[in-house]
Amino acid sequence: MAKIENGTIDEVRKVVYEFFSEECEVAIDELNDDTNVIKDLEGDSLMFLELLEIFKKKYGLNVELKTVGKYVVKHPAETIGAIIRMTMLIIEHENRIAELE
Amino acid sequence: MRTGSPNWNKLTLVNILERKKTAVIFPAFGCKYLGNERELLEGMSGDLRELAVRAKAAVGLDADRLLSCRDGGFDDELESQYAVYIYSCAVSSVIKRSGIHTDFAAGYSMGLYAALCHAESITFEQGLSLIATAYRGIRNVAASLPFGVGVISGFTQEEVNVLIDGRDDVEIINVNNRHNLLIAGYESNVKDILAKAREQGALNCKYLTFHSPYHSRFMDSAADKFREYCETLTIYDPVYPVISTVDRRAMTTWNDVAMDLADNINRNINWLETMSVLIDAGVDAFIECGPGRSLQRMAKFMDGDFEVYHLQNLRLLLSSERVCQSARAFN
Repeated sequence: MAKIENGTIDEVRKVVYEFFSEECEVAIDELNDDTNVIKDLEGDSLMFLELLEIFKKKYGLNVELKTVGKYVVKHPAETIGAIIRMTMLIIEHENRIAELE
Repeated sequence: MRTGSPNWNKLTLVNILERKKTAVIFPAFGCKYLGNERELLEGMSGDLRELAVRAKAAVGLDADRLLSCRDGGFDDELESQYAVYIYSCAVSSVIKRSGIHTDFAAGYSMGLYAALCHAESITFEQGLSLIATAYRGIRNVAASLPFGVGVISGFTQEEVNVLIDGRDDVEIINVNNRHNLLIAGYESNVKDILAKAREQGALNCKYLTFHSPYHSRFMDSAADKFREYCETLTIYDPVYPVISTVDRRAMTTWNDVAMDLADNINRNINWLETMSVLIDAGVDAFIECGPGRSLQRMAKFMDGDFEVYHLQNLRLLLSSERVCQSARAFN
C-alpha cells in the first residue's frame, strides 16, 4: 500500500491531466475536473487501463484489474475529477478498494 | 566493390547490423479515425485521390463521398471496409516511395488485404474484390441466424476462457492485447458472457454494432466459398514476409497466402501473438498504415522495446536519421 503524502494528490492530478491532454490531443488548459472523458474527450476503457498501469508502476501498487472493475461498476468514474478521486482511493486501499461502499 | 569511399563497406555493414527491423501493420474497419487523415495524406502525396478514383472504377465506390467522410462514420459496412483499405493502401504507397524498407507486414482482420497489397501479393483491385466477396459471403451466412460480437476489456484470455467454460456456441475470435479481446457467437450467449464478465469485474464490456461473427467457426461455409473464389485469382508470392494472424506463420509463397485468405474468414486470429512474433523477430518500429491509431493503442499493452508510428506522426519517422540510414543501407 502506498503512503499517501501531502503532495500525492497533486502528483496524481498532474499525471492524469497530462495523460488525457496527450492521449486525446487536447490542450491541458482546456481540461478541468468536470471534463467527461467519454463524452467530451472520446476516451475509452483502454485509456483507463493505461492510466492504471502508470499508477501501478509509479506507486508499486498491488491491485488487480478485476477488483478495480468491480468498484467501477458500483462507482462509475467518467470525469477527470472522479478519476483522480478514484485513483487516490486505489493508491490508499489497493485491493481493499472492493470493500469500500 | 565500390570505390572512392574507403569506409563505405564498413559503414554499410555497421548500418545493416545495427539496423533494427520495421514492420508495416494494417488496421481493420471499425477503427476510430483521427479526422484529418485526408489532409495528412494529401500533404504527402496524391495517392489517396488516385486510389479512390481507381476504386470507383473497380467497384463503383463513390470517391467524393469517401473523401468527404472525415470521421469514418460510413453507414454501410462494406463501404467502411473499402475506405479503410483505400486509406491503408495510400499510406502504404507513401511508405514505399519514401524508401523505408519493410521487413514484415501483417494485417489486423480485414487489414490482411492491404498487407497483401503492400507485399505485392495481390493488386489493389484484387483487394477490393476480395473485400466485397468476403463481405457478401459472410453476410449471407450471418443474416440467417442471430449472431453477435462483443469486446471485453480488463480480462485476460484465460479469464474469458473460464467464463466461456467449454461452451461451443461462443468463442474468442481475437486477442487484441493482454487486456482486451473479442468474442463472437449466438447473440444471446455473447450478451450472457458480457454480463458475466461485467459482474466479475471486467472494466468494459460492449456488444458491438456489427453482427457478423468474423473469424469464427460459424463462418465455415462462407470460408469454403471464399476459398473457391480465391482459387480463381492470380496471387503472387509476397515480396516481404506477411505474418499470418491465424497461425503466426511467415507467409512467403502465393500458396501460403491463398490458404490464409480463406482461413482468415473462419479461424480465430490473435493480434497479440502476431505482434509478439514480430517483436521477437527484432522489429522495433511498426508503421500503422491506415486511418486512426487503433493498433498503436492496442500495442500499449504489449511487452517489448518498440515504437508504433501512425499517420499523425509519420512525418517524424520519414525525416528520422534511422530511416535515412535504413534506406541507404538497402537501396
